[in-house]
Amino acid sequence: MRIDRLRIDAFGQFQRLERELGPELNLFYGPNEAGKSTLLAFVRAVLFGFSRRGASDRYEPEGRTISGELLLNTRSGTYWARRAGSRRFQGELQLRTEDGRQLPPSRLNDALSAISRELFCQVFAFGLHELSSFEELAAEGSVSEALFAAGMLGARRLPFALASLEKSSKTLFASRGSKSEINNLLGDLAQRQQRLAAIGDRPRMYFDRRHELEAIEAQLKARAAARRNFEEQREKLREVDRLWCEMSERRADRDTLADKARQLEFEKQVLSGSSVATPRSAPWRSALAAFDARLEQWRSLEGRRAKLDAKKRILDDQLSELQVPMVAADLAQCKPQVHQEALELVHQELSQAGHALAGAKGRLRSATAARDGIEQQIPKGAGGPASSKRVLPLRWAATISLGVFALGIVSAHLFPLGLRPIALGIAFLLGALFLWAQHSANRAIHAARARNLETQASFLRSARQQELHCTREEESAERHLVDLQLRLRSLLSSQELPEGISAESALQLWARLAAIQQSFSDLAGDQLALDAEERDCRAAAAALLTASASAGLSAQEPLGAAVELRNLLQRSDEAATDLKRTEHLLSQAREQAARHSRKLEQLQQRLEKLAREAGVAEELSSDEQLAFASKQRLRTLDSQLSDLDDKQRSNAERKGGIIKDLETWEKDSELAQLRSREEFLRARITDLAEQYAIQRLAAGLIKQARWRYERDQQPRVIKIASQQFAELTGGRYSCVYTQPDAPDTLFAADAQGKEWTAEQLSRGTREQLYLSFRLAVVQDFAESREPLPLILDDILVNFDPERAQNAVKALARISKAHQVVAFTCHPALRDLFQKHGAHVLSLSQRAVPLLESA
Amino acid sequence: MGFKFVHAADLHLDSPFRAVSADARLGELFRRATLKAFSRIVDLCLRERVQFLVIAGDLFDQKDRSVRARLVLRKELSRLDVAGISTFIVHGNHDPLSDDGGATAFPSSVKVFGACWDEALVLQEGRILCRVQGISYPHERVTEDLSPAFRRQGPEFTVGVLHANLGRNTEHENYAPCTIEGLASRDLDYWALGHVHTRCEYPLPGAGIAVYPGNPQGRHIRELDERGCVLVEVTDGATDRRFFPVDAIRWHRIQVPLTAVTCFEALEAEIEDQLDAWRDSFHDAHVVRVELLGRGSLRQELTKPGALASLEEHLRESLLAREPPVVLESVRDLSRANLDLDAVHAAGGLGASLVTVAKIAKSDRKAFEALWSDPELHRLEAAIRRATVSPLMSEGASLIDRALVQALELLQEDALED
Repeated sequence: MRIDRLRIDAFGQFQRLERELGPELNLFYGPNEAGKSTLLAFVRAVLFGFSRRGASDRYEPEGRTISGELLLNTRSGTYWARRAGSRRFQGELQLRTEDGRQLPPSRLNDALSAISRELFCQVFAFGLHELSSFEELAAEGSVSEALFAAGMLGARRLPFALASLEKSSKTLFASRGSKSEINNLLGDLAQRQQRLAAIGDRPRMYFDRRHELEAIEAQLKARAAARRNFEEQREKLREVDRLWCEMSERRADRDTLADKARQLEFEKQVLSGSSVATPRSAPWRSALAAFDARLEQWRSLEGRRAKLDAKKRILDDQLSELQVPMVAADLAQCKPQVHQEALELVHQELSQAGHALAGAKGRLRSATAARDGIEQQIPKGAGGPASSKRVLPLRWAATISLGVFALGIVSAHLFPLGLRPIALGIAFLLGALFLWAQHSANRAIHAARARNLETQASFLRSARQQELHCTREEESAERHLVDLQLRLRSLLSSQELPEGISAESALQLWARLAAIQQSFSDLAGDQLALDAEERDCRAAAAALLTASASAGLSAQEPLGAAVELRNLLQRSDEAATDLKRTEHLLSQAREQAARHSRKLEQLQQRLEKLAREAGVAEELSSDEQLAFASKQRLRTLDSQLSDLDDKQRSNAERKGGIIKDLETWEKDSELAQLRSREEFLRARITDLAEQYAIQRLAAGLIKQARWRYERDQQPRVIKIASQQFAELTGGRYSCVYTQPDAPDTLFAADAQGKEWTAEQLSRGTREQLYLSFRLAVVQDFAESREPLPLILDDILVNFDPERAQNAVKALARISKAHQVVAFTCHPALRDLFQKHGAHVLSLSQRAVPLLESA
Repeated sequence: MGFKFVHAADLHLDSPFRAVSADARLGELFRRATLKAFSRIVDLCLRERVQFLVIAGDLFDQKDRSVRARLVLRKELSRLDVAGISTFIVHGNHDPLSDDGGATAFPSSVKVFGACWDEALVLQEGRILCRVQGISYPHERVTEDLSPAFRRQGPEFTVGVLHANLGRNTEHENYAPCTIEGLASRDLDYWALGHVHTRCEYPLPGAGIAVYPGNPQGRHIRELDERGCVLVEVTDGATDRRFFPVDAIRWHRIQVPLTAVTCFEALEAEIEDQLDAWRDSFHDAHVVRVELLGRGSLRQELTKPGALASLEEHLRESLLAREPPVVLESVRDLSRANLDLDAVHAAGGLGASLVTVAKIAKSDRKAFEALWSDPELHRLEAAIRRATVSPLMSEGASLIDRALVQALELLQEDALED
């Protein structure tokens, strides 16, 4: 490939610059800042792309789009390669033939034999800066590999192989990176392993926790039992405390009761002196009672006797008032009832005789009146009733008959002439008929009146007979009455009563005598009774006085004695009652005291038992000690219980936590997932690590093979370089080579066989060595590929004239096969190039219009 | 008199699956798989009315720290206890006595052998039916042979329960290493072994047999196919052994030659075809690793960056939708260039140099260490060691081989045109 023409639209300081190049040796001559380096950058940019924006070698023009083109003459034809600025920093490449036909951009890559920009810049288009260092050229990378590959049989793909291995191995692993696959996986694995480590030995923890849980449950159970025991003890101690209090109270009660009993005993003794014994007081009580029973009689004796006397006098007066020849003694002998009965009998008969006379008289009066009545009725009945009993008077009957007849005549005149006789006949007939009926009725009435008169005459006869009978009855009654009155007089005389009084008065007299007799009899009875009572009363009073005397009392009369004795007995009774009550109270107090004692004994026994059970038996000797110890023990127990509860609570919480952990771990799939992932990652890492190792080993094998090859057989490029270096140095140095253990160092051997490293050479000679090496590469490259143009930017400035001439000579030789484009600002070098047939082009400082060629 | 017993080992209860990132829907299925497998073992014991159950170590993984494992173990053994079935247990390297802490209180019918040899008698109607001997690991790393402690104590059928590595199986830690001859010399009738997760039997010279029932539930891609326990029927001293699968989730490896498929759809169809054979109700899920072999036309597509991951993602989703669900462990591209290392060496140049360097690195310790002296590799080693991931150096030789292949593939000139 060669560059026939370059055309710059805008690049750095150039605008619309066009130059035509010769096919062999070309030289651009111009002063400093004329744009030689810009032109070198332009060629590189068109072939490989613009540098990154902002880079010093991008040469972005101001206000214009960076662009330009080269006319390339290649084995596959001549075409324009145009590169213009675009969105991508490399710019856009277009290939077209001279007649404007578009070509695929890959054609350029083919023409460049697919070399890299670096190789082109280091070997084919370089300046003094690139020339002065071999390190970059020899360093591992595409240039170095390309250099060696160029000279090794079967190693054309070596750079590709190493680059490919390097690239793919870096995607797998990078010791300082984190994005490579193995790095990622290792990171992931480390995380999982960290998590697994954090989880720890799960089964051991699980079963440890289970054991712990069992232990805690056992502990919980034991503590619950201990708690019950403590509570029982506490209850016992509380009971001890309660018992102790109860016993204290009971003891106080018992003492109080003992005091009370003593006092009652004293009272009892006092009361015993005050009371009289019952056997002794019994006769007194009976005498007093007997007297008390007669007391009212005693007091009424005199009054009653006076009353009886007065009553006797009254009776005597009454008897005398009756004016009968009897005194009280007589009266007592007579029998009034007998006399009364006889008188009563006469009195009844007299009364009956009177009644019979009155009846007879009455009946006589009735009979007389009846006869008078009948006699008066008879005359009246003979005349009156006949006329009054007629149906209708006769004159009224004739009148009516005439009326009817007259009515018939009048009616006959009213009728027609033919009917008049008939009407008169009917009227006459009716009048006659009426008169006949009246006559028949009057005859019946006269017959009835005759029968009535006969009946009344019979009644009058019967009434006269009755009146006669009644007159006889009256006369008989009057005779019986006179007889009876005679009998009464004789009786009164026999009873020594006045004869003139009636039977009724006699009866009343006898009734009053009987009453007086009875009163006297009653009075006598009362006197007897009063006498008897008086005797009894005096006996009772005597007995009372005797009793009073025996009781030591001084009263001489019964009433006073009774009062004194009663008082004495009352006092005695009261004392006895008090004594009895006191004795009762005493007995109660003693019973209570006994009960307290018994209860105290029971409590003591119970207390001792509880104290033994509650562990305070030693303190039983003293109540205070016991109470103190019990309270002390209670406090200890409470504190122990509280501790126990705290422990139970904490254990229960722990238990809950453990159960939760166990359940979580039983169900937890995280560990399994982590382990699964860990295994997966391990397997994957093993696979990838093997791949990585294979790639690294392959690269290692290739490098070792290359070194081995180089050691066994110097590559061709080294041979060419040796020839070039000898030519440049005028035979001063004969050989150039590298060593496997220092691949980035070039060695030179002088004509005497002495080995020089590049660093040991002078700067000019070192640049000549490097140039020789590059020229060797270029020649070697051209043997298997299309030759590429060689562009050199003022590289001979450090060469002495002889070696500069040798160099230009060598370039002129090479330019027969490779187009050479050199830049210089040195007139001597320009002349030297011109001398060797170079096509010289000038570069003015300003932009030059089109086709300013030599 | 005949009787039956069940021999199980390496239950690894509630132990996670390796390299399977089960989603939330399947997470519980996976977590329950080992527990379910053990439950099925107990079901078998009850169904077959066995005399006893023998568990030869590794009942659970100490590092899993699973409470559930202990609780389920106790619950299941209680079922046997209720049915009058005894259980004999020894502890292995994953559940040694030192870590047990005596935390798991088993029912009275469970005999756990201690760190010293012990024998228990199985009686029937007052007569000795069988003798069971066992030793538990006192700690994880038991490196001495425990089998010499076993010895016949009577004429009755004798079972030795031991967690041991018979014949230095390199896939497992070489704990309690023992030999067939050593076991045969103890004159026992049946060695109920645990530790090796793959079922196998070793007839012993003379008489007797040593049996690994394998683990009842596979947990990673190296524990493929059916997993379960062994039902042993003893008649007149002779044993008849029947294997019963109990696994709830099964692991599979599917190999698809890329030569046979031309597109991703065909690749998926091929995988689905192979999966169709596993539709059953016995398993809750399947886990599968798909390995792509050969160099067909799809390979170029698959070597594009992200292509394999994309295929894996797509397959993972579509397989998960099956019933029972199929979980994709990974898709592995095992399609390698047809490299003839001798030819590469003969061709010279960098390829020959590579082959030589790799050869020297494998044979020369210093060269090996020089190759491993890559500081980044060292840092990775340190990082994964810190993360308790198994170290890479142990796989060094095989890794160098794979690295050589990769390097040669990358440097192949024709790869330029890829």
